[in-house]
Amino acid sequence: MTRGIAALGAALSLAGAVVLHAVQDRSAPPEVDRPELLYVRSAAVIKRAALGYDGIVADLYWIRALQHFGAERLSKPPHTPTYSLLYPMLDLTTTLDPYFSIAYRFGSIFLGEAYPGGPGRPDLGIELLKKGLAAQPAKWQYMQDLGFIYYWHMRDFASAAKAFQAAAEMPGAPTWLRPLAAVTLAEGGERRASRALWQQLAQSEEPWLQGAATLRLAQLDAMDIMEAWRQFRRERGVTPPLPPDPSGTPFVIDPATGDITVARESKLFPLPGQIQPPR
Amino acid sequence: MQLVFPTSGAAEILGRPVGDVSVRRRIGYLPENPYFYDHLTAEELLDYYGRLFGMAAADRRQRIPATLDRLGIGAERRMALRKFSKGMLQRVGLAQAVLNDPEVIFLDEPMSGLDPLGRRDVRALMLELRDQGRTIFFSSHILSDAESLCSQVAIVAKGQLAAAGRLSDLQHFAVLGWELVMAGVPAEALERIRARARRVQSIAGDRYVIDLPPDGKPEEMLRELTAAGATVVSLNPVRETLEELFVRRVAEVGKGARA
Amino acid sequence: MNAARCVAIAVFRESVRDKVFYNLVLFAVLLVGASILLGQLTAGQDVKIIKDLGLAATSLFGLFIAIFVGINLVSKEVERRSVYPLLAKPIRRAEFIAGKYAGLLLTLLANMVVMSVAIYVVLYFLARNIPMQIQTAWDAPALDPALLKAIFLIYLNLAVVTAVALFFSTYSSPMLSAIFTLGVYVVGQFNADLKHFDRIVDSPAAIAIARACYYVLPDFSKFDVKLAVVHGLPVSGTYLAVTAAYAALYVAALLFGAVLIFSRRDFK
Repeated sequence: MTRGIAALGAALSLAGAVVLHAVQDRSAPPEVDRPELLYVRSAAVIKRAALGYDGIVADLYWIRALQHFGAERLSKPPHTPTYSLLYPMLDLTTTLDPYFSIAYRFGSIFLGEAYPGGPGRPDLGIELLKKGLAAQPAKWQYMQDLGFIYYWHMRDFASAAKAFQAAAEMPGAPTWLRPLAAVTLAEGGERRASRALWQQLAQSEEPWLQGAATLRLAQLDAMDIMEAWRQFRRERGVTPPLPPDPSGTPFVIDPATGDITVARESKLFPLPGQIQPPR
Repeated sequence: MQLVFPTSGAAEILGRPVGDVSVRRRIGYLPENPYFYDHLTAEELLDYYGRLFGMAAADRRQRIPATLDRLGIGAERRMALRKFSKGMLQRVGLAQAVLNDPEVIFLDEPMSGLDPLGRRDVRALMLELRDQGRTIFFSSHILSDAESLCSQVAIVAKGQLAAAGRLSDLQHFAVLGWELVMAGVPAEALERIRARARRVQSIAGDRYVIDLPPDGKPEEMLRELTAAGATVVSLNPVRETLEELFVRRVAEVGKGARA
Repeated sequence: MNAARCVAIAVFRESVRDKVFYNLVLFAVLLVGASILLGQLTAGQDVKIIKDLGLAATSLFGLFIAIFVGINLVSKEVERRSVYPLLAKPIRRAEFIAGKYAGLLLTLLANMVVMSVAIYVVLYFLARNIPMQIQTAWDAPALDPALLKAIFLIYLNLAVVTAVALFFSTYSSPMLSAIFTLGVYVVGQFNADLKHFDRIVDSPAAIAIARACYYVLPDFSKFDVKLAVVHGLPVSGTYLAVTAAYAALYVAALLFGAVLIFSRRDFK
């Protein structure tokens, strides 16, 4: 066999394989393109399999968790976001690296996020934070986040106040936690306490935390405006015009209840408690 | 060298027990079919071994080139050993065996893999070393080498010592016959002497090998044939060769073992 | 010990010529590549991840070198029969073993020094443009000297693995040695599980064996402080000293064992 024939044979065979692959790909897309699967969910197994490389494997799961979250957030119909892998992956991340604070904090914020921005599972956020506290009992940030979930998502003001109080007593805790605990206890569902809390968080260095806090503050402003509008209608007996909400989109009237609400296109949609996540 | 350990018994070398490590400074060893390190050059190999011998840097600087020269390794000394031919490797092996100026040298099949030129060189080297007063042990299955080089031999058969001593003591030194090779022998002279010979064999044309019995008086025959116009090619006594001795002794050991 | 020193240098030189150190090129590409790609993916965790990656790669690459060079240390010389002219020189068999071990340890040391420098350089460039405010909130500084503690313990870990590989190399083929050494390493990671074998299995015999193994086999998780160092948790000098003693004892046991086996080997 001459070298020319061998070279031609090699080139043609490879070209053929590539073409075949492309054709196959078009008709039946490979597994990777389909929504992710998590083959191993048991944290104990992963920890054994990591063979001492826990830190880097935790990082890999963290990256996957972020990508999963982002992909679900940005997904378009007919795909309905379920965020089903978010908690399992954050659980794996934190089992492998129990000191991975950003994973706990991210989880606590976004696990509780109401559908469709998140899975709407504040209870899972609480699980995760308790795990973090088990590894590092004196980490005030976790306790603060815990208090926050009780306050904002569960509306359990007594537990929230207790958490803020516990956080305030931990070493290194910032001074504003103590009055926050007091305000929470005294005023319960008052938006004033919530606003104070979100304003503190809006000064955070983490850009995603900043963004979440700014959004919440805008939502609180929206709720203030809505409250004022309802009061006006009650007192005057007429339906006032619909103002724009803090993000610029006008409010709308919900045809089912006749009540003022934030428009679907608005950046502030949904307000907390507005939509139930799919079970 | 303690490459293998004895099942029993004791031995000494240069006045020290065989396990003594320091005495190896005065010994040289060439293994059979030597193999060294692919990634080193010949120079680097000798430097490595030189350091192991405890040779000082100045010593190494002087002896290493000298040894390589003596073994006929020229510019190849800077080539990696993986590129060396078998014959070259054998030379390197010999070089490292004599590098430390040893008093006793062990050579395992030193001629293996060498062409006739190489064999001649090695033989010359061994004789030179012997003349310098060193003791050389070498093993070989080429008995003619042993015959031409050794002052003493030992025959080992099936792990047992079958014979040892001076060649002249071991071999039947008595003459068993004569071999006379003559050229240009006229036919009628050949017929005349044929009865006195054990065998007459023609080599080519008018060249003949004449086998005489021990009492065949070769000088007379020689005079007769030269008078008839022939010329002498060679005249050799026939004695028992080392090979025949070897075969005989090995057979004896075999019989002894069976008995 | 001149003979041992000669052998050690010879091992180091062989590693260089066998291009062992090319692994550093792959290491550098990995670190630099990751530091470039990570920015978008990790929500500000770049520095932590580079530290994790750097330490994990240092450990993993070092492990490969320790095992794949270690299993050949003795067996290659024996198989190629270069051990014959070597042992004919004034060198004791124990010196041969010691020299081989020291040589590979030297190779690993050089490798790890370069890796440490590479990690710090990458961390420097990564953290260069991040404002001080953010950096003070981190668990540990970018150019954290405590990383060296983790690297030191990784080195001790590799020293033990090398000794294991060398031990097996004195009488096993490279293939078997690799399997055994890797096996010891993996079991050593799960060492803690052996202690609590009674949670998994009921047989008292198995539990007793497991517990014996727990004490006898090296516990490699002791050498792993990567998580602690990356999160700024303290690693005391006492801990380093005790772990170093632990490693030294295992290495001594394995080297004595290797000398024992090698000293009585006949070379045909």
